[in-house]
Parts: sequence; structure tokens; C-alpha cells
Amino acid sequence: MNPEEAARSLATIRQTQAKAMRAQPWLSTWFITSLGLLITGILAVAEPGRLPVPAIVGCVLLLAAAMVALGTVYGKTRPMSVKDPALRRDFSAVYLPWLAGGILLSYAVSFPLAAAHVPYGMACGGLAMTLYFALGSRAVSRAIARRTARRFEENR
Amino acid sequence: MELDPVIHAPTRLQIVSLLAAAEEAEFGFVRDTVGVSDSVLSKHGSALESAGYVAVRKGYVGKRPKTWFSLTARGRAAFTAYVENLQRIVAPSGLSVVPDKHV
Repeated sequence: MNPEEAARSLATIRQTQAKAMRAQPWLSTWFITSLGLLITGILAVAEPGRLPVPAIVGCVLLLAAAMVALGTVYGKTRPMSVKDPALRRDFSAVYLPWLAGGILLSYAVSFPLAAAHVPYGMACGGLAMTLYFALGSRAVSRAIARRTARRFEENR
Repeated sequence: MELDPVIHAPTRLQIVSLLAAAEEAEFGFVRDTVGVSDSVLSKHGSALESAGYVAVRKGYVGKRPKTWFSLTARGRAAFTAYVENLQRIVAPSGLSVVPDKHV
């Protein structure tokens, strides 16, 4: 193999890996939206004075089990899983600030409503967070894909 | 310098490259990313499995049968050695990596 062919093979390797990173749905809208809805459900059933404590405990356990099932399905249906710590860092660098934004939005909506004794104020915060997740997940997924693909295109 | 003949074929090199970046990848995802047919991927997947480079896991998602590929430790070592050999060939020439428009 001559140097030019070897360079072409190295380029093929990098481009295949970058293509895989770009094709991977890093954050599925259905998953993150369902998670938001389940959290909203927990906030709704935990609304003080609405349900007897055993019913609250039962509902929260049921919703927590649904979250575990959701995570299992998501794990099984992902087309590709990665273990590389550098890729996980790339994922976290985009995902965690965005997630924190959703949680802060939830607090920003729910606490004033709860303080004003609006019924299901906390759950309204959960709904706002779910909407934020549903609307932003595609863009965040694309941003993660771009970042991880760039790592293969430039650094490897 | 001898390059590993098991992963030297272009399609196999693409398959192994993809798997080297992943922990595990689903059959359909590998097929679409590499751009080959089901039968071509099956053939190369079996060859890589026979060489001990790729592990194949079969399972179900709901009622649909699925197949996942992953690189074994042996396959990962072979890929690393292959890339190092390519870099050794390229290094003295001072060539930069030439993009391949077909990928």
C-alpha cells in the first residue's frame, strides 16, 4: 500500500466514525418528553391535600416503575451505544446545561404558582419543563452529534 | 509492512471503524451508515465474527428480532494495530489525510 492509499484509508476510517456519530439519535424526543410527563405526573399526585398518603405513595411508585421501564426501552432501542469517556464528556457538555435549563424553568414556573396557592402549581412547572424538553430535544441532539462527529474528524 | 487482511477490505474496514467508535451497534444502523445491503453486511459480519474480531448478539425489541455487533478485545487490538500501520506508511510521505468523497 502506498502512502496515498494509506492516507485515503485513514480518511475513510475518520469519516465512517464521524458519519456514525452524526447519524446517532443522541437524545430521542419521545424519551425525554415521556420522562418529563412522568415527572409532571409525580408532581401532580404529590400535590398536598389532594390524595390520601397511601394513594400518593402507590401512584409515585407506579410512575417511578414506568420511568425505569422507559429507560429500559430507550436503552434497548438505541441503535448505537458508546462507552468512550471523551464521547460521554461531549454528550454531557451539551446535555447537562440544557437539562439544568429545563429544571430551572420548572422551578421558575412552579414556585411562584405554588406560593400563590394556585392548584397544581408544581405540576404546571413540570408541564413547562416537558414542553421545553419536547421543543428543544432535536436541536440538542443535533448539537451533540455535531460535537462528537467533530472529535472524529479533527482529533483522531 | 503487512496490513491485517481480515479488515483490509474497504467494507470491513468501515464496519470495524464504526464498531471501534461504539460499544455496540445495531445491524440496521451499521448497514445504513456503511451503505451496504443486508446480505453484504451479514457476509462481512460473519467473516469478522469467524476471525474473532466481532461479537454478534441477537435479541428482540418487542416482537422484532434484532442483531447487535460489537468489537471484541482482539478486534479492537487488530484495528488499533491496523491504524498504527497506516500512520507509519503515511508519516514519511508527509501526506495529510485525504478525504474520501464516497463515504
